[in-house]
Amino acid sequence: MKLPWAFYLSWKQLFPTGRGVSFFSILSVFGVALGVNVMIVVVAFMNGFQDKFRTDIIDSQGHARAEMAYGSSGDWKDDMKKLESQPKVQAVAPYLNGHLLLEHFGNRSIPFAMGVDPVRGDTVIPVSEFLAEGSPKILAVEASRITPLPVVDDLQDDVVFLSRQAADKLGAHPAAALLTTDHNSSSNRVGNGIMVLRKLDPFVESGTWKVRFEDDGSYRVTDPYDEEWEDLFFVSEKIENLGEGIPLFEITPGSTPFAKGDLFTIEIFGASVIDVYSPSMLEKAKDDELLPPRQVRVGGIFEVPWQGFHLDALFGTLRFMQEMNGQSGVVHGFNLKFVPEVASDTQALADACMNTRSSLGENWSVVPWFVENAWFFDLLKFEEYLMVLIMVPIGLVAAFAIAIALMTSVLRKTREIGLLVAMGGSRLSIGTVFTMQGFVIGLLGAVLGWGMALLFICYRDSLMSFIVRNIAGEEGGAGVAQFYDFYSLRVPYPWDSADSLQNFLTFGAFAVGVSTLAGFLPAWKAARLNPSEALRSE
Amino acid sequence: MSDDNKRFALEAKGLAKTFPYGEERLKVLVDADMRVVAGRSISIRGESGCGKTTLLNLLARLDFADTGELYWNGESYDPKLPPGPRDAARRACLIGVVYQAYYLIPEMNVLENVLLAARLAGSMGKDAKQRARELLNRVGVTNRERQLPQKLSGGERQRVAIARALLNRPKVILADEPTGNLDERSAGDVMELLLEACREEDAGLVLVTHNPSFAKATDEALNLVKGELSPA
Repeated sequence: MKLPWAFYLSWKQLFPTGRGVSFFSILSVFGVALGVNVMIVVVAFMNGFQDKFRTDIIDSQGHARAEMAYGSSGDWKDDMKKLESQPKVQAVAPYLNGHLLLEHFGNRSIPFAMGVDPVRGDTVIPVSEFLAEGSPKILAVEASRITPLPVVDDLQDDVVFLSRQAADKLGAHPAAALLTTDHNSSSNRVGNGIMVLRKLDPFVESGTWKVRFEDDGSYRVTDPYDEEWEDLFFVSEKIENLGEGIPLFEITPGSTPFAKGDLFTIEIFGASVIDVYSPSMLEKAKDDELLPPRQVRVGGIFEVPWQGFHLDALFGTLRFMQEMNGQSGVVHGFNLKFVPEVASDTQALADACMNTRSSLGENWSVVPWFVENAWFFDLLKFEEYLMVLIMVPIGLVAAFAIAIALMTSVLRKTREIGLLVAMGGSRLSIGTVFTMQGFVIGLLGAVLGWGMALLFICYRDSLMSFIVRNIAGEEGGAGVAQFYDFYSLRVPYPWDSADSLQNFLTFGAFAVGVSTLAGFLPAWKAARLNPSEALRSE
Repeated sequence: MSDDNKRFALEAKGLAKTFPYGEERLKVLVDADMRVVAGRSISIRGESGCGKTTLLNLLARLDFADTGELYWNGESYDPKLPPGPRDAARRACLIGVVYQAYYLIPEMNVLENVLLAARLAGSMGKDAKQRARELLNRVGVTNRERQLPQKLSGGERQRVAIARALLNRPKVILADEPTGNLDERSAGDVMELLLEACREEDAGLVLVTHNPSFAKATDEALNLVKGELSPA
């Protein structure tokens, strides 16, 4: 196919023979590329934030919340069965919310308390994923923290999980363990095998446990309660459960075997015991019935990634909350999880919520997550649009630069334009020469901008790390530490997400369109030149 | 179209052109007739500003006349109308132009500049490349085809411009003071080349020049005085 001469000439003016590329081309293409890159990255990151918030919100409250309009549900087991029978409902978890007063050595907190079913709840709200390391700050030389993460099974009627902020306020912590080794107790000065603590029961008492090796494959344990060495255990033996309050050790041999006399000392710090008061106790106090506070142990610390979740919070069992509220056999509502094909489509989810509500009755409301948090996502969307509106002038500035440069080119090349007409060039073709330059700059700028945006997305974690560290310092300054959450921001590549692809294509097309438009004015001026006057121009 | 018209590569009858001058109109050309035969040359001399370039522009249809008739290779064009797309396409095939200032495109090398004429005429191909090389050889710019115009002397640039004008085997070459920017020796060489090449290529030549000896070298010499063409 023969390249039309106007295309050829416009290409040559951008990429002259012998010079490869003109200074004007480099600057223009980079200008457009920066504009495209900034617009794509801003929107991609905003979408990433929205996606993260969406995931966090769904994790903290499920896909929808079903509640009775005028109070608690007494027949909640029947209601739950109805909900579970819905074809599009995947999991149902009852909850009972309220506020409790906690006290621990004079420190008080009034957290938002949620009673959940530890087994069912985890299928809707992944409490187990929120559980975090919560060892007390203990200074110890040559000791290592070996506290295992708590598990959701630890949640019992007398065990609660506290949010990090509530625990800090109270000065409370779950059970913790420190491991020390005695280097002078055996001939090989302790083998390099690993000792881990598989499970630390919330009811474990403070005290010192010792593990002493008899040879490379067997050991004895002594507990804090008596000084007698227990029966022989074997390294190869898997110990499942020794009873409530007994830590579960696991020992893996290393390249240097253990030897007789090798000694591990495990210092156990028991979980904090906190006093809990409930509003129902106050009600009873009015009738001169004074009840002692309920004492519960701190089974674990949790961190809910959704910043809108209550910072002072407590997870307890459903029965614990029912007892504290004096509402035996009552729940406030249900957190629902729908099947993935419904959950991924907001319209389908809204329809499913409507259908579910119809099956429950008039007194019920079933509110999907995006309705409950509409204010927040509307705000984010508004922010995204605002950012794009602010960014668009960047693209326009590049277009103005292109227009000015091409206009200058038309003035500089007036006599050449006259010659082209004299050689048989039509006005349309002359105009095309300059329009094409705008188009090619836009196209190359868009492609380069896409490349830069891909690099930004690829290295977003390093970028965020750089920004956060330089703004907030290593520890994270006030209000900035939360950005560490975004290190793992999910920003999809265009081949992974239709939205991302649309984002890339939209801003690429915008750049090409605006650049081409920028070429129109110079092109129009060139096409309108009178050739006889152009040839005479100085 | 008469048989007479077909005999001429270019023919103009009664061309007239005025320009506004205050409230009046300045007569630049009055009833100009010209017949250009293939392979023959015509020179036009006259004082600066007498309308020589305007006449060339009217012949090339880069400007439009007030009255007159115009034929390119026997095809009739209304010189009173602004040139349209048809004129542009035919101009690329029938008319070659050479100017005093060469007007080579600085972003292209010598060969690309010559081939631009073929691209404009829509006849780019292997044959065009071969002919471009032959013409460059013919005008004495051999082995410079990859050079950029900026690297050439004035005489060399004008030779390249002549090769470009001849590439599409035009019926007429319109040359507007092609030696105006050259020293005496180069000017003589270029003029000799232009006359020879037009004869060899069987192209008519309309040469605007101030140089009497160059005018004498053409087959027909005309003077343009007060807008009127007359034999020298």
